Amino acid sequence: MKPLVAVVRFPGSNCEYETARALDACGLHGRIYNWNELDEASGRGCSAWVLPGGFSFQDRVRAGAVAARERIMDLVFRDAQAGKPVLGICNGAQILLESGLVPGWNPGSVQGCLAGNLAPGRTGYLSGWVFMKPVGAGAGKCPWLMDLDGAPVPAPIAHAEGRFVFRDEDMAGASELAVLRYCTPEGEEAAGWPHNPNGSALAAAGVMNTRGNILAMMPHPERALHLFHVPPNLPGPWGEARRTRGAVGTPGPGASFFTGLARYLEVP
Amino acid sequence: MEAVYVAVRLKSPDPEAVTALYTLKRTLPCSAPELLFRYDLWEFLMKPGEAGAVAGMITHFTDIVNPNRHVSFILPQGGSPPGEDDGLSWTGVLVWDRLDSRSRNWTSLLIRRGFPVEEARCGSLWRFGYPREARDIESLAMTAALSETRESGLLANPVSQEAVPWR
Amino acid sequence: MDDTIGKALEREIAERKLAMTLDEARRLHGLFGRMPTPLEFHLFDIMWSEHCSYKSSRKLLKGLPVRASQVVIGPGEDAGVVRFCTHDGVDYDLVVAHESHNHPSQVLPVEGAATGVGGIVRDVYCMGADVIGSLDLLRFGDPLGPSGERCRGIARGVVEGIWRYGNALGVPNLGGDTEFHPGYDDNCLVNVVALGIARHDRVVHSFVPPEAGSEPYVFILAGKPTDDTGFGGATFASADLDGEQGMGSVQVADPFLKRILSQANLAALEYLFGTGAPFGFKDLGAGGIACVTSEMAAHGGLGIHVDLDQVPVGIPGLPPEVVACSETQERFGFAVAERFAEGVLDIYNRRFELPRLFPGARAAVIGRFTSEPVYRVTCAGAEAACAPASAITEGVFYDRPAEDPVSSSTDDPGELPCDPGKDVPAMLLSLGGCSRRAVWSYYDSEVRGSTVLRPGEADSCVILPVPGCSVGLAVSGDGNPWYGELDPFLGGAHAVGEAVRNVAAVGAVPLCATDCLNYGNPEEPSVMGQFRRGIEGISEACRHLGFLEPGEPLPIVSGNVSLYNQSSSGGSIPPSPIVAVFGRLDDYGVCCDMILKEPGNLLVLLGPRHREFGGGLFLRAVLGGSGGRVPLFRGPLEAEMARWVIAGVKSRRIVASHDISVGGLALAAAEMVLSSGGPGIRLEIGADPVQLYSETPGYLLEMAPRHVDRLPDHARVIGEITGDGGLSGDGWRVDLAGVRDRWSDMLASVVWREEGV
Repeated sequence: MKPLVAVVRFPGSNCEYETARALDACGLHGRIYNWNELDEASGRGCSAWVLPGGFSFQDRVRAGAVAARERIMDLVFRDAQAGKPVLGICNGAQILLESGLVPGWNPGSVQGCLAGNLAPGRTGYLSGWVFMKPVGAGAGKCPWLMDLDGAPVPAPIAHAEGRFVFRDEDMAGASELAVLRYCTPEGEEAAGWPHNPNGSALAAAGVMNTRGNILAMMPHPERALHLFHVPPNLPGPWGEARRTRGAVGTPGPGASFFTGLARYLEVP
Repeated sequence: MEAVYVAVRLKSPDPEAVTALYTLKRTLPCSAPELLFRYDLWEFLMKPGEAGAVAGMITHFTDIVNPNRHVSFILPQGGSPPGEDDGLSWTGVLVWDRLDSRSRNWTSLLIRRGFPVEEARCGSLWRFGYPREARDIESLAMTAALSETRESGLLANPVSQEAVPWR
Repeated sequence: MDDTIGKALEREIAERKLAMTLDEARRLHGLFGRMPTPLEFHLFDIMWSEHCSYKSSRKLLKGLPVRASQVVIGPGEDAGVVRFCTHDGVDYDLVVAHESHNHPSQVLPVEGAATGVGGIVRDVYCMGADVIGSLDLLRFGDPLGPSGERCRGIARGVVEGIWRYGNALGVPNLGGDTEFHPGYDDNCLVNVVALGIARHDRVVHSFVPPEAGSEPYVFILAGKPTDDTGFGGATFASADLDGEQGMGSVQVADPFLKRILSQANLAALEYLFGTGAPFGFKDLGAGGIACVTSEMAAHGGLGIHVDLDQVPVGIPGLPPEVVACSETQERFGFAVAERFAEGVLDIYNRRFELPRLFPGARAAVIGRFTSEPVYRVTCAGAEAACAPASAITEGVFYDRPAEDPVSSSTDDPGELPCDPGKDVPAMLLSLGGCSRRAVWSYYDSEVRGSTVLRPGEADSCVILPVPGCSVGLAVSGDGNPWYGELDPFLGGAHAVGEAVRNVAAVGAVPLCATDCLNYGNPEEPSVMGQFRRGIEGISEACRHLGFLEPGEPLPIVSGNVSLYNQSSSGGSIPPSPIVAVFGRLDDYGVCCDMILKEPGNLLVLLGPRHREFGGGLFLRAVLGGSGGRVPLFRGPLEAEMARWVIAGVKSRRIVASHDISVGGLALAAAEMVLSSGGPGIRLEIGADPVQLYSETPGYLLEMAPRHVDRLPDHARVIGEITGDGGLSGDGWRVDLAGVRDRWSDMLASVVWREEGV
């Protein structure tokens, strides 16, 4: 039987369907649970959790802050402490930061933030494709990153609050956990706008917890699952593949995040 | 340099304040207020002698104050916006992003357009209305504001924002 | 003669701020045989407004082609429905709707645009469909003109309203277009299109089913608690813009609640289809509870008794006419058999926890259908309205005089200078020619994970409506105000023509179209003349551009009329018919974008060039002039070209495509190069303004040399793809590298950062 991965729909989530489909396409069984289906979600016992993108509670007060206080997060918290893999994408990442699960030096305390984008002359939402790559030895122990080969991975972002912020005294520690970083199409670490699209500290696109089982990432791998997702004018080999092979349904750059989990869960 | 504060609220109920109050009452019943209002709070650092220019400046840009949508008040530091229920005791907490592009971009836009501004900064002013008998309401409000853990307050992330009593 | 009734009616009109005329009020009085109640006044004021009744336009709208084999539901219900595809033995229909939210957006840009998106997606949801995309067709005043300050603020606010609302809904934004014209300085246009997909056997109608005659049926209201927002909104939409009037009329949208409602709706529909008992479903828009309940009952041939005391309200103590007619957003209504009502309530109130997530939100039974065809509303035990149900939907009509417009399309401007090295950058760096990236960058075009082509990559966006199915959908919306201004007929015809070209350019076969007819004051015969000619233009184009069955037109399946688009000083907007066209790709894997593929490939021009500069970007941006002839609409040629392009994409002979419109061939070529980011184009064309800048419709196509041996008559090779990222011709060269960043950033710089203002 395929491992069950719980996809949590908070009030206002909007990427739950494609996220569940992405899991299904990579050898797993993604199942959507409503925020209030606590008994169903704990009863079945899932192998991993995904908090999908969207606007839980319309980002009111602060993106992710209200959802972090929903009771279903108690279940996520318990499983995460037990070492089960947890992935937060976009709004899901914001919820992980506001829950104190990432960076999680002291699980439960809020020690980082995904703050409003900082971009020259611009405020608010930004959508577009970016490149990121795994950085540091820590990436190897994160189930979601196991299948990345180190080459730049393109994926779209779509957020207004995606800037990782840490306290000055935590920067050294954060540097070890910022395992996914924005880069140029050629793989050079992003020095600033536009390759680092939101002014994120350490050019971080994704940050894990100290144990490595939880990853909070802003780009959307489920929107880069197939080659047809890749823009035809994207620089680099993925864009070249789209131009020459057409808009086909073969795996795209974002598939590795889910196949990594499948490998970690020993899906044959 | 002279600081001028402008509080701006929606004419219709502010959904953010509704959700915040609802969440606080559910998660922190001891520190949650009876009523909670939210204002955009603009701090304009004006060139000397130019404080009077603020009124004209904010109505110039409907993104700051759209009279069809907003009510705005020029407030002294720590001042109470008009219209708060007399039956409650009120206190305020101001939440700033330590760094935000909205403030930066407005600063450069206003300067570029020739307004006598040194700096513009935009935050949220939360006004807490507690029952008359409640004690030390300023510290109750700060408890409700500061989000040190996911079980504690709600309104300010301690890493990227600062929360200060509005007084 | 003692006219006490007339005086009393006049007083009611003034005190209640009704939009109806005294004659209409007299007619209402006659209908009831007594003085109407306040609720009855407001209900009929809304039902008889231009917005709801189409009283000025209905006669002319009959000229639009609406019938074709693929049409399941044409204009008349909340959205149009056409046959789309079959996957795994299930038939799917495409559901489309198109509306304007012009007046509210001018007054309150953020809320106006947001409720525009909110309203149009409700129209598609309530047909039982899942909404899979939306697009926004925006027309703003001149951001650099005398009203620039306000125009920039409105443009920023509208885009913010769209992203704050639309992105949160989880509906991908498929672009649309943005135009600037000083004629919109006092009256912007915000047209919104939404599209959805529904199982053919599960398309829901918006009236109570006939079964309600033989078993008890109730009306369930689900969503946000009713408040006083949007009271008088439909009337407001039909009045001219006059300072502060109508402020209270713009509704407050809540995408968070809408997203939850949309998920709860899906669960409720699933449940109701499972019961096997027929039901009706409708969104609450103009006229709120009063309109939805009366229309549901009247269109089903029944009556209804609505008990306003059962309506969940957000503000206590509202008068009955406000509760009944307010346009509070995020509400839906069901007509269901009473025995299943509890099951529906449970889905909203318990499973999706509406009451916890939003104070006062819930589903409640507020009415009961009756076999006696009477519309009856009670409040606190007293009767607030009582009328024969049929009277409510019996509209009013006007046959307004129309005066044929004098075409201001003038003679050819004569000898024209031509210096492509300067002209092309001047067009690219004009408001008409610069990239719209600043707008799209705020839109989420990829949520749902089914987007194949985004704005800026091809002439249309392409999405996959049914997960796992290879059939793709292409959509484009167009309308050129500069053409409409000079020639209202051609404005209408080219709106269809360009949208069809955009859909054909990606290889999709046009299936159906929607329109929104934005005009000025219909009481002016010249405006009615523009309106009539615009409809004739659209109809003419649709008759030529049907691609499915021989002899059948491209059907208009849904639409909207927006009149009174004018300022208080009386200036009407340019005639602005806006058309969206929806097309089908059998296999999304062979869709075509505008990105240049391979140096050494050839560039083919499809479509002859004529001296047609009227309303064109070259005259405007380079010569600073106007006049000239608007391109003619050549129906048979348009159809033939589209067929050839669709076939060429399907056989993979065409590998990149872009239609020729604003700025002519030169601008089309420049846009292909700028979007590609590597390859360039070398044209075998000298500095010839007709060849380069005339806006005669056509296509530019990239094809491999081995595929150009069998070109049709009106196609020829005009150049080749190079590796140098430039655009050049015989004796000229354009420095595209030097303008690329400014082209892509110009709109952000002017509208958002207010640089150089």
